[in-house]
Amino acid sequence: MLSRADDLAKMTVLDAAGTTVELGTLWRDKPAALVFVRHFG
Amino acid sequence: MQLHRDLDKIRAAGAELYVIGNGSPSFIEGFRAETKWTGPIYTDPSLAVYKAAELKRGVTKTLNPFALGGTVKAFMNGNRQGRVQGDAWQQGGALVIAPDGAVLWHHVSDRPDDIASGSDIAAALSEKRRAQP
Repeated sequence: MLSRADDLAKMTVLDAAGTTVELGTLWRDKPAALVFVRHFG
Repeated sequence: MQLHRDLDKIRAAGAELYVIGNGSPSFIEGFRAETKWTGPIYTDPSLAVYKAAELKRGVTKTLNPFALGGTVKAFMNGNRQGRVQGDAWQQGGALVIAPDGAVLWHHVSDRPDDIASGSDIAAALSEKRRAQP
């Protein structure tokens, strides 16, 4: 099981507009719960 | 999506809940309309984040009796799966991450109906709060 998210922090995801967002920004200020869905639809 | 019910609980615990899918960013708005999910949504078309989060992928993970049961149950609940927008063989999961980068909770789905519970996430957050008064 993962204990640290340091590698994930540097990775990126896209928003609906296709803009790149660095994952680490999601938990920089407060805890983040990331729920990965199997797929859209 | 059961997570709707627990969104307030998670936000009350001082955290934000992000849904991450895979496939094109153009599928995000359709997903939002279908699920009525109001929180933030991102996508990881390359599946690189799914892989780094140690989530499972594979035909055998999807095509098993439990998977069928989950699909039937979802259908009976009115959650019919339409055309798949993304990687049909990718399983989901959840992570709760603290600002210092520590993973407070890690859930890896084994079956399509094995989804993260918002209650579990809220519990992980409140445990962390107790540990750091």
